[in-house]
Amino acid sequence: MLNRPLQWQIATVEAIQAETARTKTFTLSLPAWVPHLPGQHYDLRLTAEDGYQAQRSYSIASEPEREGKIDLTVESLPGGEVSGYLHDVLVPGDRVEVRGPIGGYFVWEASRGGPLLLVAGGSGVVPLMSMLRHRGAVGSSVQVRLLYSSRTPQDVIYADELRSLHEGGDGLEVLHTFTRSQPPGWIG
Amino acid sequence: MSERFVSRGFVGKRRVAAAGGRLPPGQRVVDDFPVLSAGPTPRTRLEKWSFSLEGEVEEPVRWSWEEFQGLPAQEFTVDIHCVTKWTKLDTRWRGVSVDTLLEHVKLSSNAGFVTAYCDGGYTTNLPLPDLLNGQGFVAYEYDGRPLGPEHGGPARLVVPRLYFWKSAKWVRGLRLMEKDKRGFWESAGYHRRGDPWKEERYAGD
Repeated sequence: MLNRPLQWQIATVEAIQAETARTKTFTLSLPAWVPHLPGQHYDLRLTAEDGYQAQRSYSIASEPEREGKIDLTVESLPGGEVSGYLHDVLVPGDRVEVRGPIGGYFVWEASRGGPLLLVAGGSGVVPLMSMLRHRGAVGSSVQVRLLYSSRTPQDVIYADELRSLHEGGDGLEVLHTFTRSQPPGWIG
Repeated sequence: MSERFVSRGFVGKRRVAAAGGRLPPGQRVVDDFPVLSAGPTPRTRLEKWSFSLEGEVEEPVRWSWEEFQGLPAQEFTVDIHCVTKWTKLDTRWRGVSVDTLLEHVKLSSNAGFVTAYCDGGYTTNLPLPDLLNGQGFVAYEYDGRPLGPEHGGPARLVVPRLYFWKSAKWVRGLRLMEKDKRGFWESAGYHRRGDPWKEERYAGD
């Protein structure tokens, strides 16, 4: 439980990776990193020259076993004040203010056991990805089924990684649904 | 932080000015009405619905839906602030003030806090003074229409002076308490009180 104030810290952007046409993953290096619970989020704050600020919350995509760094996967929203800046302005080496990890309800650790049924739509898969990566990092064999809805196959975030997790044969199953366009021969 | 941090190249969209000092720190104005919930949406039939005041009161009281509709109600227009950083200005509600409800019980002198409890098991804790003097309502209409289940209908608490997670959806009663007891989100890292103007988002803020 959190009892001390969560301090803002200045993180450095280590890497930026495009996941889909509308989503990017930002790898941030944190001077005061602490392990998170898979499912938690960070608050991110931008400050303009004149002191104007904007804050948003973003789910952590990475597993807590990776020390010192977090991945935030962010969807660029039309006219998005913060997501637009992150997508269009931010480059590796830039710095952003963050504080976290935050949230103690939508979380899962392998020690809590399973089985798990995870259901996500669009970028809602991000906190669940932290759970899947954590499961892999600790070698958990908890049965997991992820039902993941995307607009089109091109909008699937972490598509390659999810495919290899699905094909890993260790009790992790990924089921996709597509709401706008489906691949040829799709019967799902 | 000693050095003043500036985000390179950030200007911002600045709807703050339009809000004219009505936007607490870290919030942004939205035009839609986001729906956030930690579980399934309960759909309680009105004939099964009741509202209770209990705990540190001399005699608990319970109203049926019909009885509750008979209580003096008022319309009010308020700004609401969600801890997830959206603020919605000028939301219009109709409901019964907590002041009016409390006229029907004799409070114990120990009563200093309230736990709101709800269909679906949600709870949230509030200091009693934050609910008094026209600051707290049990609302059953939004924007001139019955409050829909996705927004907490048939009735929800509306306490605009605190972050909106305190305005419990699907509320079924208030338990008057001697001591503050953390509710659902307050037990999961969120602030005990949640004053948006002090930016009391998380425990320790």
